[in-house]
Amino acid sequence: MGNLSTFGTFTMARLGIYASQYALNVTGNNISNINTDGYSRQSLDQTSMNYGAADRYQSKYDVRANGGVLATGVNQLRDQYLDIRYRNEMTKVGEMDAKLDGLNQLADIFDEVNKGEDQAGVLEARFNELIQVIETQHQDQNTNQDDIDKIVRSAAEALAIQFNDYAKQLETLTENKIAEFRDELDATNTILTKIRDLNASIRKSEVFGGSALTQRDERNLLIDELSEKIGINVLYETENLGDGVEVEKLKISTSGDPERVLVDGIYAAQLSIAKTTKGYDANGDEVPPKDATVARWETVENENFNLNISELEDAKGNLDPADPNMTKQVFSVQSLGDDASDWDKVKNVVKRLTFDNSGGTTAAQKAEAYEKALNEQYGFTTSGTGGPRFHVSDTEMTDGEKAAGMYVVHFHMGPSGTEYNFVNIDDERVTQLNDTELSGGLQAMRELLTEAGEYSTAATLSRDDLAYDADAATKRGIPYYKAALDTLARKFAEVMNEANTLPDEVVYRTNKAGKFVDETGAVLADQTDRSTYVLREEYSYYDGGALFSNSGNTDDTEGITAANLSISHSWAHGSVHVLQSTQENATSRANDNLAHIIATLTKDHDFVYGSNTTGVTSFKGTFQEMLTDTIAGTLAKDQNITDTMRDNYNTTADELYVDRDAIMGVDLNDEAMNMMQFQKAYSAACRLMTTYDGMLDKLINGTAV
Amino acid sequence: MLDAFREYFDFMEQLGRLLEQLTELEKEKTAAVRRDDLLGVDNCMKQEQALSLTLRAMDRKRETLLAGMGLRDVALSGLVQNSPEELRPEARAAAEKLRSRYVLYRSAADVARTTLECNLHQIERLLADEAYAPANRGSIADIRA
Repeated sequence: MGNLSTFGTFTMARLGIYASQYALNVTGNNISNINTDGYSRQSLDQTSMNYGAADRYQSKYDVRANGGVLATGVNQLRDQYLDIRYRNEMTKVGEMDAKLDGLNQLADIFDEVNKGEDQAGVLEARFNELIQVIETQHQDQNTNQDDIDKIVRSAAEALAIQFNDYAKQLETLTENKIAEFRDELDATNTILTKIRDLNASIRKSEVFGGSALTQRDERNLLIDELSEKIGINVLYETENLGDGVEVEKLKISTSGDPERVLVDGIYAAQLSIAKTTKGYDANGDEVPPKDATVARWETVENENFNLNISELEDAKGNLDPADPNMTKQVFSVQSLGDDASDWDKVKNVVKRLTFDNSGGTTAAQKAEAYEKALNEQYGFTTSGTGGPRFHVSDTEMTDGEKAAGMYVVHFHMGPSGTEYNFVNIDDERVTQLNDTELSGGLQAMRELLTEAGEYSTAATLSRDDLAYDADAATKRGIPYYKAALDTLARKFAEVMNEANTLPDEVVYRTNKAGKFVDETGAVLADQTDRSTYVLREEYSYYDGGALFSNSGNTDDTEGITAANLSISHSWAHGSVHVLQSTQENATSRANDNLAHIIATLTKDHDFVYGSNTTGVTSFKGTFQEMLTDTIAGTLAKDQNITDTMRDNYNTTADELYVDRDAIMGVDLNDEAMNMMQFQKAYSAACRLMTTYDGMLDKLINGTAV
Repeated sequence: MLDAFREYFDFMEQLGRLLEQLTELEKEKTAAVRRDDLLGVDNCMKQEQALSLTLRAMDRKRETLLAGMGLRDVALSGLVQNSPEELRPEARAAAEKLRSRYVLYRSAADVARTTLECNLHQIERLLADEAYAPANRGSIADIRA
């Protein structure tokens, strides 16, 4: 006979009851969370219980059944493949959403469809009005100069104001987008922090045997949200805690090349806008940071909005000992200003320095390395005490300052100069991301703020754009439209001023050698002083000159942009008029120059885009074509393409969401079936118990003496 | 030389039209995958193969034309700067148009690929489940009453 356990079946029935109860709990949890955002359906893991090793003297006729069921845990039903694909798609959706939002706001500014109501002016209409007004004066053969000037100036002023208004709106849009970018960055950092904290919570739970399923759901929701802002790769690793205990470790890195780690288990990084150090001399003019005339430094945000990733830290600020990001060390120095005892000023001015992480491990070694790097950065010699130089001390701090990673930095101006004390309060290490390491909403916002497309200059392209992004010269953000509008305004002013001005050599008296002379024929002492020039008799009527300038207070035509395009001071005050004729001895009825101005305003011009690293490109067309083609037309095409791409990615993301939901979502039909099944199993287990109870009762009470 | 550039611009227009065809094909393929139309997908892939051969031939022609203009290995982004002054506006317009069509094609191709891969993944999961179905484990059903 085989071994029969007298009460083993009771245990079996009990285990069956427990398992059914657990299963019903899980089913109930699923049903109650059916509408919980991000909830992943759970299922009970069950395994059949085995008794273990075979008996040495077990009979070959023995029959052995297993010992019942064990509920080993609850797991989530999720498909990681679909998670990955969904998040990749959401990165693209986030990118297109951010880009389209910016383009739509640009389209609101360059609204050429609206007929000028509610401040949504039509630049092309203003051009046409100006041309129309000049044509009318030309056809009517108006001889009243003041009338002509007044009418034409009014239309010109309306056009200039429209340019100014567009430029101001672009500036406002830029400021709003920068604020939005900072908000998005803050939101991203908040998500990274939350994921880190959840990782810590899940880790703790796993150490004590829990599964932390609710926290995992919360974490998955946050990762989904993060994927819209940055392209990410998510990796689930295991961390060995010793004694055979392994816990899960989540790692999130950027999906660019190279990968930068954002979250590594219980450590997370933070993103920030990179900073640039600028130097200013005693007059407040900007000079190179290493220049000897530098009186103060100022650290400002990088104009390309490059991002830094900080060191990986846990919730208590401890660094990740295996941080893979750090390749550079940043030494942050704060100036005390003129008053060395004014510690409040410490926080205002920050100098930052990057150098290879070879500073050693001890404070003294680090201080030596910082000192060397600081002096190298600013071109100072460290030998002797003759000239200006930095000296870094690792011994002059208080215990608290030491614990905070502080060093005292002295800046010696020279033997007789003032000594300034700086205090390093932030021995911070960051890694700067290059131009295309990010993808997603953040990158789209960066490109909207910085990319000038065909208007990229050698300086902007040298900001490592082309090294990492071959398309840098073809991406168009707000700077492109600003530059295009400025080009249009500048060309318009140039053309109008040229049409209204005759060369000095033509209208003013000169001798045969080409020198300007006075009424008596004497050569003027100062050939450049235009106020001494004398008009030729044939041009005694001449009162032409610049009609547009860069400010209403001057006649300066240098650096005209859409923001500063103005009626020139002379035209506004009547010393310059619209030139009706350029003929010699022109009568008051001659208005050939009006026809010339009209022809100039309606003909093709070369609009020079500006130089990039490989040469000059241009657009050839009328002013209206420049506006409708290069500005509005290009914007419309970009909008169209971005909209189409966003729809494509959105549709795919929706489908992936549905596919994902099919696996992780709660299906009431399934749960109802499970409920019935487990309820039956529970009843059957109870029945088994009562049946066996009856059998034992018979055995014990029915057969005993 | 101007004629050579104009010929190249015409070629770019042809290439752009081919990309438009490919874009439509990718959209059709995506739609076929979404409605589980295997034959439709097969048909699209055959057409795609044919167009790919055309694309390859056009690529060889592109290299020949560029070599004839002295612009071997010059990317599309460098075409405008390397064009004669009088043809730059035309070059810019042609390059911009081609780039836009290419961007749209890549987007449609990405979507088609993602949709196809996710459907293949689902098929793989079903097949994996099927592998453990009783019918595949060699068991015998007892149909005696």
